[in-house]
Amino acid sequence: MREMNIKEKLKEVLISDLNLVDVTPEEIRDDEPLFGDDGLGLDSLDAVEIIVIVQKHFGVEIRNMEEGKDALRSLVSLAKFIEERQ
Amino acid sequence: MTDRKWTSKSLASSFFHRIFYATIRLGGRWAAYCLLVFVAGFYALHPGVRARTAEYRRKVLGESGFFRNLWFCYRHYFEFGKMLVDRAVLGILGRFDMHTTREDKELLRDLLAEERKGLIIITGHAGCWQLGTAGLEDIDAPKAVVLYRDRADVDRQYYEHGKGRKAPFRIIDPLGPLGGTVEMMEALKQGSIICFMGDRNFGDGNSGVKVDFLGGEIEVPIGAYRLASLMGAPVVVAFSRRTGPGRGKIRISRALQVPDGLGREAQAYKVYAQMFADDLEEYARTNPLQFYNFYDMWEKRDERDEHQGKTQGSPDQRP
Repeated sequence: MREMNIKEKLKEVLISDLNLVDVTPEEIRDDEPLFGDDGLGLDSLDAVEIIVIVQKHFGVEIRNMEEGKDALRSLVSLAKFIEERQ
Repeated sequence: MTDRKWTSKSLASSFFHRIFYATIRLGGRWAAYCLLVFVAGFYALHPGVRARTAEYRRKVLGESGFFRNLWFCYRHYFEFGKMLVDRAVLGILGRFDMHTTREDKELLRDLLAEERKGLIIITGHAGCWQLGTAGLEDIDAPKAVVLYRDRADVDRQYYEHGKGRKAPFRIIDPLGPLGGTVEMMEALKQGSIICFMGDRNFGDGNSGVKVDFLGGEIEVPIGAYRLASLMGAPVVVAFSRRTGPGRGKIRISRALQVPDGLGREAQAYKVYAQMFADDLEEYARTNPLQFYNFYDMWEKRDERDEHQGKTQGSPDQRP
């Protein structure tokens, strides 16, 4: 239930803070990759922006590449990462 | 990935690089320079190699005759070769004198201390950029270099000549996971200096902007400016110049602060990329033989697509 809420909030803050004007929360699939053309289409510098967003809205820090690589795979992996550390 | 026109792959084979390394070990720097006279001559006479810098020569020399072009091309390859020899000499014999002015060092220290958010240095493929970190040794901060290397590259960075010697700076691979951006962020948080090359774009469609440069338009990357905006890190634009055998200078041309909240659109960073291009143009006009982008930077993407068979994957860089 908590992970569900995190996912929904994540979708909202990603759209608003990354200014994804053509995307709605419903269009973001939980398991689609955040980066690259096969997924949400974010670029590598968006990864830094997402790390800043996660810290700002959820108070969770992604400290290094090891953490980031797993957490930033998809929306569901990011929500799981946040839930485990909150 | 963009269909980039350049590669870091050397023109020469591994065998020829080894000949140079052996010459340096046996005869020192000057012996390698002597060998270079013939190698640079060969490349300058090779029409295919000469064609790679034809547009650059047109930009800096204007319309000029065949022999003037040929002479410039020879000196251009010779200068580049001397820089590569100096780099290898630093690795093998440990000698290179990189000078940084006291004012520039103080500025770097002040920016690092005031902001405590690391520091981004943007430079170009010019002068002795591959030796640039040698001029930052006095600055007490970790250093990182965003360094693209071709898989097929056979020439060595200077620190690779000593067995088991650790690089004096951390290397961040822009083709690594997430484009190395999380590593960059981590490095800035630790107060590192990160060096970026600001004149070649290897990112995706949203990673570069068009700027005016030497009377035409080129595309340059905006990643460093966006990272600065996201992390609040100060930026300096700096270029190195080889001033003699085993000697070089680094000068800061400007310091700038990229405001936060500029967002994802590449165009938001154009003003900063243009400042860099203006400084690079001034550098190229003052030091035309020390500008080392050996490909047509002004070629438009559609023209490039037409000629892709000719340009893609071609080793275009080094003697």
